[in-house]
This record gives sequence, structure tokens and C-alpha cells, in this order.
Amino acid sequence: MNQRHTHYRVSDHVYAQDVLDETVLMDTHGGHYFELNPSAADIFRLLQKHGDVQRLLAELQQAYDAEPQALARDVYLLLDDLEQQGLIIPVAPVS
Amino acid sequence: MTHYHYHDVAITSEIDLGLPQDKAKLQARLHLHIERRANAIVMDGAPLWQSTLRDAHNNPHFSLYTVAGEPCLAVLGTGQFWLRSDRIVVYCQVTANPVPFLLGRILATWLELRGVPVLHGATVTMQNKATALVGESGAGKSTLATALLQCGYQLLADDLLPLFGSGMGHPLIAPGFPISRLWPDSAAHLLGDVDPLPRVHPRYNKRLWHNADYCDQHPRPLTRLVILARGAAEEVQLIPLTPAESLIQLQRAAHDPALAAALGLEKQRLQKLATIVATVPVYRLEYPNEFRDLDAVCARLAPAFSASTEP
Repeated sequence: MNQRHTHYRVSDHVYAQDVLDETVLMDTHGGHYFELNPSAADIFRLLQKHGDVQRLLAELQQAYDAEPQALARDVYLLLDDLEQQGLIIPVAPVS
Repeated sequence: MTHYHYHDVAITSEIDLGLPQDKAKLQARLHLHIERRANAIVMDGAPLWQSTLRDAHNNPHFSLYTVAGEPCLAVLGTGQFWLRSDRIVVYCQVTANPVPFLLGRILATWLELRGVPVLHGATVTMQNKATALVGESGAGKSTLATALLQCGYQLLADDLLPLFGSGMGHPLIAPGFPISRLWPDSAAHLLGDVDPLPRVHPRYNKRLWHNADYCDQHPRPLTRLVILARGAAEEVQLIPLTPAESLIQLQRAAHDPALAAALGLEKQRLQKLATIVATVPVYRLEYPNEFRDLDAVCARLAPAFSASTEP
């Protein structure tokens, strides 16, 4: 299994805009837009808040009644997707 | 100097804009002075942006420069428009007519710089409620709006759709000028004889239809936005969009996305439009690309226009 990144930040060329319980991401480089449904929007907001995936998961676990491994799998699926699109980038942990 | 009142902007102009004069000098949200300049404006450095629309020699129709830190748009074959905070300074080539640009792209850009998002669309009203028909160029906004006028609706504005906040949720749409801009085939289908209709501009084949008898002259709350997708379906469908879908679609339908990006206005526009889609329902209207289906499109829109559940 590949080593997971532990910390991310939003790319400089991406704007995030909440709209009710959803979020729209605007990639100003490519002029593309991405739509996050309410649960994906929650994950993205927590990523912006913490940058640290473990802290994100801990806070998300309190909000969602889900099995921890399934929750972590879904979170990493989203993070992988966002990273592949260039919307977030892995960073080194702040010491 | 002539006074005008256009889209809730009080304009004093040294150039005849061809609009009805505002002799009463009505209150307005914004004030704009249009100043004519005899000599070309000296612009700073290379253009920040150039339009993809080009002439036969590959010259861009629109180029954005800065002058003393403020944007200045050069329009090929027409002149220059320096967008200052309280005025637009115009240098116009001898035989050119700057008015179609001033009242379109230039005014829209000036409004965006003042924090007012501007969509590309036509607005019709019924029972004091405004519905905006928006979409990209060629989506059929003016054609559908004109068809709706013939079904009892009134035209509030065509082409520009500035979204001024009302402080009460729904933005207010202010009247434009009682004209529609129609392609000749649309004008022929809806109005009959095209020949008496003047061209919007010598370079464009769209025609102007003065329709004062069908106009609403009062600001109205925007109660619905309809994004047109002509040719997207064989049956007429009115599909409600989620807030995120709405925001993305409106961002695409906003005036001059590439120019807004060059001016650094994208984020501000996204924020403003997000507040609008939180209060105004947005729909995607899919319909066949045939004039004969316009009646069915109007009929599909009609019941919802008068629905009492919408404010």
C-alpha cells in the first residue's frame, strides 16, 4: 500500500465558495469548476481548517455516524481525487 | 451634457447615447460620467489580455491595458475606453460609433469593477416579478424573451443584467432600454419584416427592435433565473438546479468571463453570485432548436411565472 500523505493545503489558484451546504471550487488556471456535495464540502472545509488528515478524520467522526475505516476510505478517495485535479497539494507537517 | 437613467445608473454623458433623456434626474444606485477625449489615450506597456475574437489580419477585437493603474479597453476600429472609478473616458475614432460598446461590454465591465455582478441575459416580468433568461451568446435569450412578450409578458432589460443587491434577499433588476437585439431569422419569425429593423452595429448582423409598448419601466425583484440550453433536448424540460450547479452555470453565463479573469474579478463575482443562488431559484431550460417549438417553451414557462409560491 502506498504511503498516505498526512497534510494538504488548497492550491493557490483555487477559490472555494460555499453556497448553502455545498461548495464550488474554481480552478483559475484552467477555468474549471468543481462541485462538492454536502459531505464532500464538509471534508473540504475541515481540510482547509486543519490541513492535517488525522485531525480532519477525528472531527468528521464526531459529526458523522459512520464506521471509522469506511469514513477514512471515503475521505482518502476524495483527497486523492482533489489532488489528481490539482486542487489540493500535499505538504510537510508543520513542526 | 445629457442625463440618462439606465440600469439604475445615473449617467451624464458628453456622447449622445441614443437613450431617452432623464429630465427628472431620478435617484440611482450609481453615478457615471462619460467623458469624450479628443486624443488617443497613451496606455501603459503591453496588453494584459486580448480577446480571442480577431479580424481577418488576426488583430484582436478587444485588448485590455492599464492607464495610471486603471483598466483601459481598446476596441478595434472604434477607440479606447478608460474605466475610472467615477467615469469612463472615451477616445473615439473619427467615423466610429462607440455607443453599442459603451452600453454593452464597457458598462458591464465598469459595473463589475464597482462590485455589481452582470449576467448576459434578458429579463421579462409578469405580475411584478422578474425572470431572467441567461445563457451564452447564441443561446436564444432575446428570441425567447421576444416570444414571451407576445404571450403577455413585459421586457425589463435585454443584453445586460446587472444584479444589484436589494438588502432583502432577492436582487432588484432595474429597467434597461426598450430594445431587443435579434438575429435576422428570429426577427423574421417573430416580427415578420426584417428590413425596417436597423443593425445593432455595422459589423454585426443582429437587428434592433424598439419595443416600448411591451416594456416594464419599474425595478422588479428577481424571482427566478433560467439558463437556456437550446438544442439540448427534443422535449421542453425545466430542470431545477442545485445551488452549486446554479453557481457554476451563472459564473459561465456572466458577462465576459475571460475579461473578468484578467481584471481579477472572478472571486468577487463568485461570492456575489453565491448569495444570489442562495435566494433565487435557478433552472436549466432544455428545448429543441426549432422556431416552431417556441410556443411550447412559452407554455412550459408560463405557469411557473405566475406561481404563488414564488415571492
